[in-house]
Amino acid sequence: MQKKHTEEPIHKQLDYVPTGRSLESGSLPLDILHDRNGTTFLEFDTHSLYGTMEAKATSEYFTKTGKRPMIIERSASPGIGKFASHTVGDTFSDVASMAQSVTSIMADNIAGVPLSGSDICGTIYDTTPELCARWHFVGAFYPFSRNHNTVLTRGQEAYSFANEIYEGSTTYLDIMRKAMRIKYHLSTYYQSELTFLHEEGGAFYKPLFFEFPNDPRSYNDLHLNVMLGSGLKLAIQSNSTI
Amino acid sequence: MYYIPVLDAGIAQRDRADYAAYDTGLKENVFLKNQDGSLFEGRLWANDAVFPDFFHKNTTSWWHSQLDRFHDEIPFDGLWLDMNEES
Repeated sequence: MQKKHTEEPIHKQLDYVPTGRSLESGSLPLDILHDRNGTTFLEFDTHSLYGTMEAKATSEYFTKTGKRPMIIERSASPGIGKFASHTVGDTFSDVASMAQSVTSIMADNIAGVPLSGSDICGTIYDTTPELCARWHFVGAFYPFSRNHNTVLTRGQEAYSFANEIYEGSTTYLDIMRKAMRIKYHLSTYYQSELTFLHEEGGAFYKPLFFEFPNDPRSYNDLHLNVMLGSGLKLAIQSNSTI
Repeated sequence: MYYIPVLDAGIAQRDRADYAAYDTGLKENVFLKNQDGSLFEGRLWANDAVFPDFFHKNTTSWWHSQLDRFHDEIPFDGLWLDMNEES
């Protein structure tokens, strides 16, 4: 990424690198310096705190100006829930990623970030009408969802499926529209539940075992069964193998 | 309706371009440094970019004044903080 100013850069001195991929891949050199009143800290030691520090400073901006902090944030470390909500980041346009989004949002909720969400239809690679329609339904029940993709992939705005027939005269756009109606229909319930959690703490988008820990079946098929608060259960039907 | 724009961590590095976020950040000394004390210059969606050091004592007040200026131009309701791995 950049010219190095060290003889022996840290990334070459590491005994073990998880996944085997350089820790500097797509990110900053580990030798970069942070400064706290004249004491310097290496990027190597502070990397995972960057997003949380940025969210803290931003949250304080909203508070100072008399507004409620509304921050969606990508790089997170434990404690982020005090300052911001979280997006689980880019997804791939496949069924496995759609399933993973469900358990990722559960993990955020367990970590104290109830307002967590994901990209729908898949960010990377071309989506398909069926995947995108299914993901509109799955995403309708996330605390928030974003239809987002990357450059040079097919358009995936709902309207771009207006002429794609599901069956009979029903288009994939019709299915997506139905999902969006459900999403906004539920918004008052979501707001009530999330407001309560803001005051009291706890999780919203939960695996079944959070509500029914003594039922062994509640530990199966985590990605297909979601408790939304304590009053609503989402069952996701899937005939896809992941 | 609420407006929550995406805001990237990297500040576009544009010398002598009268870009206040960069110029004031230099003056306040709030950007990440290399080992030899020089400014760390990376690349992001904005191409050449520098990164705020949120550990530095000047950074929070500098960040707040930049958000104020941004809000004067675009009255956002919230912010989506992106590319802050930092990537």
